[in-house]
Amino acid sequence: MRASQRRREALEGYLFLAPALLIIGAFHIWPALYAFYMSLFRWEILQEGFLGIGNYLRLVRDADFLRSLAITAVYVGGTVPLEMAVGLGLALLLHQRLRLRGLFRLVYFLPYVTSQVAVGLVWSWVFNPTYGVANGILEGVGIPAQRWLLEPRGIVAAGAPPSLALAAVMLVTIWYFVGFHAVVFLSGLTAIPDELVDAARIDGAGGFRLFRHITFPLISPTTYFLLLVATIGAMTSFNLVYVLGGGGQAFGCAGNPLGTTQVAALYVFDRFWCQTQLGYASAAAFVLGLVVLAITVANGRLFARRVVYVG
Amino acid sequence: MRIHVFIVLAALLLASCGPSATPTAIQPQTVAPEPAVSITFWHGQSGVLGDRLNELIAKFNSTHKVQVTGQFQGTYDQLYQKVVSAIQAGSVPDMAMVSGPPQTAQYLKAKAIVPVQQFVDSPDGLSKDQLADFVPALLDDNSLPVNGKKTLVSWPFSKSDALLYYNPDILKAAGVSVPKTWDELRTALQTVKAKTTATPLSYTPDVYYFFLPYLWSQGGDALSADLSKAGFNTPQGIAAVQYQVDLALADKTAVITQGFDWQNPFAQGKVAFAVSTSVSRPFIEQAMPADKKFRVGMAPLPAGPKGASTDLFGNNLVIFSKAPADDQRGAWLFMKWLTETDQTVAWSLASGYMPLRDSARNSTAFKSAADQDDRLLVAINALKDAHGIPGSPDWQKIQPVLGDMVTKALLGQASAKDAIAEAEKKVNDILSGY
Repeated sequence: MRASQRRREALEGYLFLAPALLIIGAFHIWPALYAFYMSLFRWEILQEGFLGIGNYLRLVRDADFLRSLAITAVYVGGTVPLEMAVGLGLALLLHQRLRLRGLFRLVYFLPYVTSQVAVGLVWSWVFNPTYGVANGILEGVGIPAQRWLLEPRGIVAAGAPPSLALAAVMLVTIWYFVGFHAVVFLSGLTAIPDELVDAARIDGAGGFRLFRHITFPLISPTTYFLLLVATIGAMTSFNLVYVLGGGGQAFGCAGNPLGTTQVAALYVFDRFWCQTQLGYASAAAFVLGLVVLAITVANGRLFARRVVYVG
Repeated sequence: MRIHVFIVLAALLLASCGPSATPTAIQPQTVAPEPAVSITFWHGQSGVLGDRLNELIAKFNSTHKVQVTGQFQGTYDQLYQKVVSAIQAGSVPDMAMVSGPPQTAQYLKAKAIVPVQQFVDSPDGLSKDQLADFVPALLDDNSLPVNGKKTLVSWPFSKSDALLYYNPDILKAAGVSVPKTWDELRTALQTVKAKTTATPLSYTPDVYYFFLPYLWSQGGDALSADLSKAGFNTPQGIAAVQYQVDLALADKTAVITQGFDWQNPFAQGKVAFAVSTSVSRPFIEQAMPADKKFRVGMAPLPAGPKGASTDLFGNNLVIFSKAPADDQRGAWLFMKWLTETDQTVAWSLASGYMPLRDSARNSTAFKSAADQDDRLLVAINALKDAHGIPGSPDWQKIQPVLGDMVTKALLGQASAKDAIAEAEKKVNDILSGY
């Protein structure tokens, strides 16, 4: 009787899970498995010869793929910490009793609810070397005009990422995501129990010390969550980079100029859609997925222990 | 089985009786009755051009048993992506537009399309005279080797070519005439720079608008004749890159833009010269400020030692091999109709694409339009110098390499010679398979 009841309960459980499983299965798991299958073949428009791990061996030696991983690393490293820091700063400001606090929250959050493609198009006008606002401002203060999204030269060293084009994309990325970080941090800040803050104040803590010993540790679950989400998001980022990095060629594909904005997701897109190397691109996508997984696990190992949960 | 044979025999008998009513001089072979099939046609024409195309389709449907449904699939790139996906899924339309020989070559390599030649040669096809009425460059653009034999694999439809655009007012102010050679163009740009405040040349350093036409005009080519190797690491290839470097870096007479960004400044009368296809004119005219209109000048691209050269843009039509035989035939009948003299004239005048046949060019409708505006003839006259884009299935991979090659040289990151040598190696790697 008991066993059959338990079985019934389990069945009900699976029934409730079924719609979600079906969707995840059809649109995530099955395509991933199929991509892996494709990655084992030479597959241009049609399936051709079996290559085994041939595509993967080729990836390891492919300078363009390795470059795209390096560019992704620079992109993640240059955007995630900054957007988190600025987001936290904004959240701390917005957490004060400010006038028009609601309005500020709305304003900072606004980019995040706008379509990335629309955002990308507007910013590509801003950075347009011929009639963009960015050059207008530079010229106004006596700095020579730049080619922005068309400029493959590095801003640190001539041949090293990020190029000015990638730096511009990173700037837009930070601008876009700061509001999201601020709002999530803000919810973390409101969750800190008032009595802990009061107690610390009575003990004489204030300003930075209050932040260092009370606020920062207590929002660590939020920080950890944002770090994970932002890192995964930046590593697989596509829309903004694709729209902004169209750069230069009327018939070019993804990641211009000279491939300096070709982050890994764009590399996959470029090889899949622009060069129709379906099997090879699938292998690259698979490797990218593994890299994201590895970094997420590493993030967990490094930071999960330091997260403090209250309440 | 026996019944089938009987039906076939009966059909043959009927068919052989049928044509006796029609003059055999025009149709030497028997023509089966038109199949009552519906055809799906994926295209990339939207806006005004989409409306005009739909009108043509409706006209065809009202006079034919074959019924065509046109389906807009987005830009050429999106259309291509959808066709590639459809081939994967095994659910292709009956016919589609392709943007040029490289894509056709890919589809052909995947055996996804049937060469149009078999329909051209069929009783529904075209006689030698009718075929000779088509502009030879366009037939070449639609031909690829099949079993070592030059074969029509696709069919021309909306074609344009690259031209030199100029602002006659600025040229007049600078005292410059329309340049006929690349050397004259360079001098003209220098004069414009010296004598006016206008930007001499504003262009997007795309391989199609500049590198290839220049290369061809020097007698060079991008790939070897059998498309198996890079062919541009030659004095002509280096000259084709160096010329642009000279304009952009030495003379500083060229402003480099992205995409179609040159169009607005040109329309505002701030730019003397630009390079684009013949269909750019309506876009330029639309972008002109109402109080500062000027007559857009159009001329063939400048010539080199081997004459002038230009490249073909626009699209061709293909028939998919998965479509049932009757549908393929229906699709062919539609294509054939679409490129008959009346339709090609109507489409050309509505769209700015070129008429595909001599008879269209000589038709009264087209002649009277050309009398009113001789610029209609510029693109057509340039057709005799037109090259198709190399019909290599690997061109999709090669073209970005060439684009990067030009960009690198223009940014001064590599000399023309080094940029070319690097690109040659990459292209040869691509062509040797991976």
